[in-house]
Amino acid sequence: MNYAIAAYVIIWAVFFGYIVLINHKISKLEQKIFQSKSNGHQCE
Amino acid sequence: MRFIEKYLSTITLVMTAIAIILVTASIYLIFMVAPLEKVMGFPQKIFYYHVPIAITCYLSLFICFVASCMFLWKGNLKWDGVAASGAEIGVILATLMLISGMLWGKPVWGTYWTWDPRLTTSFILWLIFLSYFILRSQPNNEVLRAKYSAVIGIIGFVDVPLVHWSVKLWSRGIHPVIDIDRDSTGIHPEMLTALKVSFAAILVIFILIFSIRVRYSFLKSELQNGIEHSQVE
Repeated sequence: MNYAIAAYVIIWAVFFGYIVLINHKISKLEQKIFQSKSNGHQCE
Repeated sequence: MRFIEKYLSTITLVMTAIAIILVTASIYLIFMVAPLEKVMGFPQKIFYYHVPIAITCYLSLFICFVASCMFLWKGNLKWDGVAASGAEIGVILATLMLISGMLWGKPVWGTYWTWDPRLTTSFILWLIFLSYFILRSQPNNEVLRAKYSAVIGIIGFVDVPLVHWSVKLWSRGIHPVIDIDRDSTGIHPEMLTALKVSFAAILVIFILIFSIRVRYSFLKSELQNGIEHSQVE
């Protein structure tokens, strides 16, 4: 029983962790893009 | 490509809602409805996710293969981003496939690992795509890096049919052969339903993760293009 539970816990932890990690990276990139665009507007 | 870019966030939202419903249904069916297998007992329940993860891993690496070919043909770096997304998710799924297989193997075979043809070819596949990321981590010219990665993505995919047919090619393996169409009469109907729902759940999660990862690579190239433009100006 422990092996099956362990397998499901690992699978869900990896999926959930990966989604959180990528979303975190996306929000950081969006912030950088927003900053670079606003800097560009200021220069104009 | 523009169509995909335009609807990425909508796809993500819809897929999240469908994924939550399917995952809840699959967990319920696996642990509450599907009967215990007589010989293997509870560890057999790993099979409901192990098989869909393996098939989705093939799909992810196939996307990497197609996108790599498209990059070499068109030269558009966005195809490289799609290929890298397919390879990255393929490696994650291959890792989960190996881990869940090992956790199933210990109580059923008495060992975590054996050099069975399918296990060996799966491990080789995992190593090939791991090397893909080692190559990508090198600070080379972006176009050159994409070209080398595309070559590894195409060559690496050759191992996928080998993994799939290894149990038939080398008869001395101990990995079970599962043919749903042929054996559907031998599987308990509730087990078959649990497997089908689990497959749908994993497929939807794959589409969700893949769309998020592709969005990330598109944003990354957008930022890089922005920096290059500002440097030129």
